[in-house]
Amino acid sequence: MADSETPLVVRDLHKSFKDVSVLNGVSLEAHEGDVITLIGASGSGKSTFLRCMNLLEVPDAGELIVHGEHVAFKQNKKTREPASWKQVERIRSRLAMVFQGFNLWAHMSLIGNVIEAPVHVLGVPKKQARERGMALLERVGLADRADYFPAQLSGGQQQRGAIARALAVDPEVMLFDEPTSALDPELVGDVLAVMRELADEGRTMVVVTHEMDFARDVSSQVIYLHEGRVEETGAPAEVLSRPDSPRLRQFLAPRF
Amino acid sequence: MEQWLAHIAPFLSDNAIFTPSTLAQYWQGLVRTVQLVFISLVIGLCLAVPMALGRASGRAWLNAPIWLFTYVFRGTPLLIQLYVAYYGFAFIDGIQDTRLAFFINDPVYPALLAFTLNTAAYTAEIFVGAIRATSRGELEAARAYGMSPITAYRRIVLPSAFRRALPAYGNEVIFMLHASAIASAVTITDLTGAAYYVYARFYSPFPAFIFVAVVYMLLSFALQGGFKLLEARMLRHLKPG
Repeated sequence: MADSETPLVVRDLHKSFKDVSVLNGVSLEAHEGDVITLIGASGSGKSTFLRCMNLLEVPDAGELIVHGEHVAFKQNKKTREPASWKQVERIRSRLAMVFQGFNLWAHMSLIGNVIEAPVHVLGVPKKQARERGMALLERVGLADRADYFPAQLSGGQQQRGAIARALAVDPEVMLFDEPTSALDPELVGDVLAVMRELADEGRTMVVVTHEMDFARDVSSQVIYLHEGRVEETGAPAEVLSRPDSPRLRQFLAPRF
Repeated sequence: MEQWLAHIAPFLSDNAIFTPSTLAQYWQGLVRTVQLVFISLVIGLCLAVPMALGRASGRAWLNAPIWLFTYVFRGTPLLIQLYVAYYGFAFIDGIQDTRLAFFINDPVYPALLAFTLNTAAYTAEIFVGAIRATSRGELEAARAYGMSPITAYRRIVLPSAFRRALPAYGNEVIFMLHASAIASAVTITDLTGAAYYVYARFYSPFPAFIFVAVVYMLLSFALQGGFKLLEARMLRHLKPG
């Protein structure tokens, strides 16, 4: 049951772009320590769903509740928008996002990226943020790269740096948007290893991914989206090993 | 200055043109040129930043007038702008009796006005381009981490845009230095004006103008060197490896 302790609850989300309807009523409940993976073909709406969770996309209808706090919306003539951007900013600072394209801030060093949101959004003193930031870089194996700029790092290093940046705000839920899709195959393992560790230590995570091994081994719940609806969901052992839906069976079938 | 002249005077004793008095003339011209260029660049920069923000804001009522301004100032020769400022204001009835009289009594003010607005227009366009080239992903990350639009501008968009704009702005500064030569057309004794004076007095165009050419070149080199250093520092994040 959802209550004020539940980090993230999404109910009956709808979203369309122009005339194309992308989400047709999807819901999700992330409890403390849950690792929820969203899988599905491209165009199934999984990234849009994730982006609605921190309002990078504003859903047309549906509820979003972060730790018991309902996000308020107001209806304009045609569009819906958050009633208070202040509230949105506060909620975003509690849900850290890791992007497919890393999106580190290129003009800042790695440690600068990591302490940016703590210092300039959360108001943590710089010295304290730096100490914590260095510890986080240590965790993701990049302490010796703290003063490098993103362009001087490999894709895998950038993504691990982006995970450190996400951890720096001590988020209630971490949102991962296909974090390994832009990486060379040999770099994927390092990033997944860091994510596995985070899952093991009880971080609440929602992960859009194509890595079925990760979904199977790490997640507590798998959600298979098809055409903006939850086609099948449940424990990974159930969903991935004995799929009911013919579409999911086809999706999971070896492709060559 | 006096001391310096006394020092080199012996070396110039055989020389009819580069006497202490003409060198003093060049020196004053140099000071005037540096003043004109420096002041118009500083004020122009201060005007350009808000104009660029307005242009990039996506609000038509802000964008349109600024666009028109930059279009006009980049679409007409600086010399014409200078003439309009210099001669045009004198035709305003009764301006001689107002507090604005200083503006028509000393040609430096109309020149400053024309130069400032001109460089502001070019600089604004340089910055707009740099702001618009901000990586969408970086801006999205700023929003995703809870930055307000103002914080995102202050911390992400502007710092990265200024860095991107630096090479183009360096060119604009050197362009302004050279363009300032036309101040001599409205009786200002800048570097070029000093060269005119020496040329007219001794009727020797080559020494007079080649000497200022060298002075302009040295100034350009100094500016270029300064921008090179600044770029090496500010743009080091773009160098891989």
